[in-house]
Amino acid sequence: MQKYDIVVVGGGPGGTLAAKTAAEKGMKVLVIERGKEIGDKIVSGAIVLPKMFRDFPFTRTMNLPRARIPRAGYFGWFEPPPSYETIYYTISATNPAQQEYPTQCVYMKEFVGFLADAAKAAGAEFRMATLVTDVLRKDGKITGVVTDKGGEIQSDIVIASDGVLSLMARKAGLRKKWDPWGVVNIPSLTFSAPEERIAEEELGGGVWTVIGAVANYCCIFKDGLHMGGANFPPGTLGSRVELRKGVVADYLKLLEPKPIKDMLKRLEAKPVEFSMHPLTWFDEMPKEIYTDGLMLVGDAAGVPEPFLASGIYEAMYSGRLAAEVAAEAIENGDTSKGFLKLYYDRLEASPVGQQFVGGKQVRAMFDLLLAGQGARETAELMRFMMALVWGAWSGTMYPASVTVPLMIPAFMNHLPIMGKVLGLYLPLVSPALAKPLSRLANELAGGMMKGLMTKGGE
Amino acid sequence: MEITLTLADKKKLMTVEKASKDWLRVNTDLCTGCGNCAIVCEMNLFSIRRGKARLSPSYKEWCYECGGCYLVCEPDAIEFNYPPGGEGVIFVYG
Repeated sequence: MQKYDIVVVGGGPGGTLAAKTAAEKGMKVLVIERGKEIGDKIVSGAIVLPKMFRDFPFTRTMNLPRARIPRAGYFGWFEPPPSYETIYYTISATNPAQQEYPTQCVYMKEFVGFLADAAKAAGAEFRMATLVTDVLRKDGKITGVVTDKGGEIQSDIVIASDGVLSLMARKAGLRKKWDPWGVVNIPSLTFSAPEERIAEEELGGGVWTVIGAVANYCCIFKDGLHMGGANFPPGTLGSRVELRKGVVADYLKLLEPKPIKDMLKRLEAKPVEFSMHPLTWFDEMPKEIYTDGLMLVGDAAGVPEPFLASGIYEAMYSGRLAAEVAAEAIENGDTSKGFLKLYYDRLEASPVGQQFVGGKQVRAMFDLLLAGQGARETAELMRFMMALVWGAWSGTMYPASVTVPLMIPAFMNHLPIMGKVLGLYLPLVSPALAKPLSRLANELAGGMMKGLMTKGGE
Repeated sequence: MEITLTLADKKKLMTVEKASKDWLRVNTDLCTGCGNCAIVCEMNLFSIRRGKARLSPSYKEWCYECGGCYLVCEPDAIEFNYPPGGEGVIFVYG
């Protein structure tokens, strides 16, 4: 039987980082990927943020042929149909700190290819077109995997980065499936467009459009663009089922506002691929992410952050951390659940875990504000709050040396101020919204800050 | 430009290597016919007949492997595995 120190299931951002890290520590590593080629099973063109370049220095030399550095970020708020009136519209110029490691729009396939090459260069082996169907066990402890190509492969530790639907989590007995109220299903369209048109495009970057509770993110590459339809948390699979309505009809509405239509026209954009993919959007970091001989990373561990549900950096970070803990466990001759708790503890204390500070409040805010979707008051309040959030987001990267990372802590720091401003705003809103909003205002201005000071603060 | 995503459009915009064996099924003993799977499946691969969900036999050609049906199935009647390695949907652009 074949034997490795570490078997990594899944060759996405989490798996490749786990493999690279483990190989660099001298471990014998095998990545098993079900796609024929790296990236065959991965979707959603992505916006990789400065925090990735900051925390993963090897990515700074990344030079993907079709990736593009956006000139600006853009937010568009639209009245619900039929008017589609643009009610807010802002462009945030790339600030000086971000220019050090500028945000890039990347095709996931190309990006993961780069990560896999880095893992291979470090010495990790890859086995493609192979599905892992089960775990091997000895005395209850996971000791390897079974594949559909007939092979059993032994390993001291299994790192499972097999996505939202993680078969490994099921086989390891960690869970059957995620709660559908914590998962959104994202439709996305990829368009091709002539490079000259894109070079001329003024907006040219990460674009967000929002109508009511549904939102659309856009990444523009050198030769095309990607439009993903993100439901905010009220649009999870659970709520879709309750509404008895699929998501694509709402997604299409996001492509109808005039600025979006005009942009697609200017770019001579042509749809070339459509996909659906699930994404976890939790308000707390899941706890059941390790057991005897196995750790879950990335979407399998449910670590996408609670504000925008971005998960690439989170997958990479958790993958690297799991590999570090795996190497220590193997060195210590202890791969038990007790030892691997170290992974959970370190992840919780890391930027990934810290993003969940205030996750419940963020979720409550989304639920509350978007419950009245279509109401003018809600839309106006949202534009105001998002302007603050947008500012906070840029703020986290400025200056780059700030170690309290990422947007959630910065966003949360603004909440007491937002709470006060909400109080001023209250007399203007409809009576139906006034009551829940005043409750939110009290919460924001009050007790929440304590938790932040002890948990996230310096 | 008018963008539509009819079933025919979606089919044109996807690439699938048809799986060599079955990997998704409805356990009709457990199915309650609630129809959740039919709501979330954007490829209309589920229909409800005589109080039970029925999976289209052509799912191996038109499934995105998103797992929405599996996640929303309350009685856990949907057995979602994955197509054999190297088969199933291929995202060309990603």
